[in-house]
Amino acid sequence: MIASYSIRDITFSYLNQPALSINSLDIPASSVIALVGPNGAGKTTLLHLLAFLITPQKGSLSFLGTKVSTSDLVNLRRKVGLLPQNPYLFKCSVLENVAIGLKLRGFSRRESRKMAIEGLKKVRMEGYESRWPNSLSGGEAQRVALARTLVLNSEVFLFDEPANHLDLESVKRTEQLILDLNRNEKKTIVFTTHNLTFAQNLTDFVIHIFQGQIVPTAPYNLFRGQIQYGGKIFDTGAIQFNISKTTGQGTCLLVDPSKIYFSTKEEFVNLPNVFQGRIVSLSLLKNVVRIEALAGEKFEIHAPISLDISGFGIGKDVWFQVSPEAITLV
Amino acid sequence: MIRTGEVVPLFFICKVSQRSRTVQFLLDSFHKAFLLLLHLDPQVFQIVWLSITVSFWSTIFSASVGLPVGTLLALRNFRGKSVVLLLLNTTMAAPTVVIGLFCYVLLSRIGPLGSLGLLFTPSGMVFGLFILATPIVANLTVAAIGSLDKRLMLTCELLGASPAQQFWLVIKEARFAVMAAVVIAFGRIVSELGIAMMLGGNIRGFTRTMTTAIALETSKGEFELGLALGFVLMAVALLINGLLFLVQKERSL
Repeated sequence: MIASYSIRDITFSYLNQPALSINSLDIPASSVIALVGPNGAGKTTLLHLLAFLITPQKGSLSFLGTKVSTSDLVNLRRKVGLLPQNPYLFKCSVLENVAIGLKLRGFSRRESRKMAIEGLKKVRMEGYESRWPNSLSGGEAQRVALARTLVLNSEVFLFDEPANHLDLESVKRTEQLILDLNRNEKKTIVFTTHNLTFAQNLTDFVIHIFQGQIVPTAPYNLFRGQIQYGGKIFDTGAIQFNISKTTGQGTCLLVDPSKIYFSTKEEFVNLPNVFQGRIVSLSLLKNVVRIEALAGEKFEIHAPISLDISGFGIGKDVWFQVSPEAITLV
Repeated sequence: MIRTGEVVPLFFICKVSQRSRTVQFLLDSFHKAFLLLLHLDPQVFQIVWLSITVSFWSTIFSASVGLPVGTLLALRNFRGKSVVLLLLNTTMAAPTVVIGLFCYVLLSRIGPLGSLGLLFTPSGMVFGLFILATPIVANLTVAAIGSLDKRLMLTCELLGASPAQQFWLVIKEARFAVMAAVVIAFGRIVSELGIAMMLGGNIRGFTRTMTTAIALETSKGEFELGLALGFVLMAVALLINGLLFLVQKERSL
């Protein structure tokens, strides 16, 4: 199957500030992909790249097997539907707002209005057709913009923080809409979110972005510090990591929470990167037990759900070892 | 009221009698002006009609050039853009007699457009007023589009709008401010004197507009026709401001 997108060695900078640097990324057709990362990580920049709103300064981007050309951006943009984080609604009625993208694509006034009414029904905004944007709440405006994106019936849908401004019920409905688009209509969907639970509810394919780069794990354990002793030690100020066997380059250190070995007894003697800490919280994620421990810095550890947690409790001591493969410098 | 036998300073008597004469004169003028309007005096009607026609076409041409130029200036970045904006602003502030003089040179027999024979014709006036109003429309359009939401262009692009469609969507979004720009330009044109006088020549029954007629009648000391035209001009100004008010009211909804 042809990948919807294929990215190779691309870089993009805003005013000489590197915003995105991706070596390789393939987005399979008919997949649902979540881009997860903190604010300013580069999620929106990547989404804008996928929507052909910006073009990479270096590297190549292919869409449906064809290399993207800057001379054909308008046609390419018409093949994707992007819902921005803070959508802008035009100074006209809700119905006209939803129909606007269709009119730009050459649909007649009658057809586009009919499709817009259907779109509004999908997001449960019937009866709002003649309202103007300034009379809508933030959530209602978001749903109108969602309807405007959905009616385009594009091959790829890109959603930037689709759960933004929405109440719990609307978030559930949006989740269902995204799932339906993928399952029933086989659309490729890429969305950004801060909310890992929202991401995991919709897809298992999560791309973590941090400082414009794709990183192997979510930046749960993100430490800022300095590299010392000829690149052997990473000092956060509170703790030190041995990074002599670590890959990557950068001034931040990421620790994969699923690759931390831990015990409630004093273990891992003579191994590098062993820390003693105290458990401060225990919770259940989708398919892991989440342990938060304080050991100079706050660590998040993901344990398999099959783990016997009878010996664990808040306030108990814990010894853990961060394996070299758990550490990435970004 | 001065009673008989009362001692009144002479200068006071003179002042009172002069004031009453002035009031009487003004009342007479107003009376005659109203009669001229009431009876649809052909001369008044012809002057008003020419003024409105000339102003209408000048506004149409100014809007046709000023709107696209203003939109392009607001949306596109290019080298020397600030110089162009500065020049536009300067033209907007230029005295109308200077614009009139410039156009006079252009349209005079020895000028580059002299062969068109536009000097002292309504078309010549339209040309001069077009030169006057185009920078106004362009500048106000730049301001109107510059104040639009920064997300608008991104939204146009992500919806797949072609450059021409983006252009149209932007003007549509700024329509209230753009309409205000056109209305302001019309107001400026209809009340203009210098250009109308220099390029039209104030020829009776041909290029005499409301403003040139008012200036002429006042210089002759005959206020009736001037006042009557002044009322019409004020009515036009009221209509324009009323339109502007309605536009702004709708914008704030």
